Amino acid sequence: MNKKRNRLEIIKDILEVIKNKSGKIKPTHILYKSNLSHGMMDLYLTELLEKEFISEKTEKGKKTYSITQKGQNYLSQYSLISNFTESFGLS
Amino acid sequence: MVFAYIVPPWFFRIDSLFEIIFSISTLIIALTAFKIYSLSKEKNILKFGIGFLLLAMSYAIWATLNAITIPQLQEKITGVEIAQLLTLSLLGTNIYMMLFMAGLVTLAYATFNIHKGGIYYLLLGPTLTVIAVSLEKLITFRIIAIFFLSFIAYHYIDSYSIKQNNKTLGALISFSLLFIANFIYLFAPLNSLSYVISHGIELLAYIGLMAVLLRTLQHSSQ
Repeated sequence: MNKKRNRLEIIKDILEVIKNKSGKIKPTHILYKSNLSHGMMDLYLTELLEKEFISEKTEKGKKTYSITQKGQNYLSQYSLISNFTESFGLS
Repeated sequence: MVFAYIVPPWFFRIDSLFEIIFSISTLIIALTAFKIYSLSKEKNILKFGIGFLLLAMSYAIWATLNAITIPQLQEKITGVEIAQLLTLSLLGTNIYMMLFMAGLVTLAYATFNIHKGGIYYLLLGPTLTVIAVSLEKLITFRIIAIFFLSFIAYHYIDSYSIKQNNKTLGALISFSLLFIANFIYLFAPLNSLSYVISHGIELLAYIGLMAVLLRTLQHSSQ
């Protein structure tokens, strides 16, 4: 059985889903791949946009998301971020 | 009004060295937290960093104060110079207490995982006011510090019960040692040995926190 993911893991999973789709993905794919409810996914996408980890584009009325350099940095340094928050009880 | 600790003469200057070590250790933790905040944009990490930066500043003030005042006290000085020295000491001690307490409040706030500035304002405002208006500032300061440190230590007990590993245990032991050190500081205005013991325990606490940080960085680079 999968263990409950924390916030940082969910953010990592969403960013990986976007990155694996050549850095451009529709919200429905994120919903399907990240295993979140629609409401939760919207909250996370808003947060990731605010943090500038992803960017949003609207083409022909349809939204797509791509990962930014900050998002790539988050993924590459995820182990450090996760270990630090765990060690100091900040997760 | 109690505004000074009794320090054994042989411990003069050694205590400044301890405080410099405390200041550097807390500054390293703060800078690491800021670096991780820049990658993650997690507000709790930023608050944690600010908390440790305030602690670093408080220890730097304390070390500077001791470095300036103690050598002068050992020399023959006039009444006017003593008065100036006392004013400086009082001012420095007050700044140290305010910064240290602001650091602890910020650390406690970081553990809440709540992002409402109002709660921070409610915690910090009354805490600093009580110390500022107290007639027994050092004792009031230490009692409030003990309350905050007990809360933070409890948070780490909670963290350790969820994630049982050496790093969370290290953080738990370190914050518990800080709690004990602050409890013993309560007796330092009356007993010189308390001041020395508190410094020793505080040193162990920061060695512990640095060890946790090093282990975290090592694990992350593997």
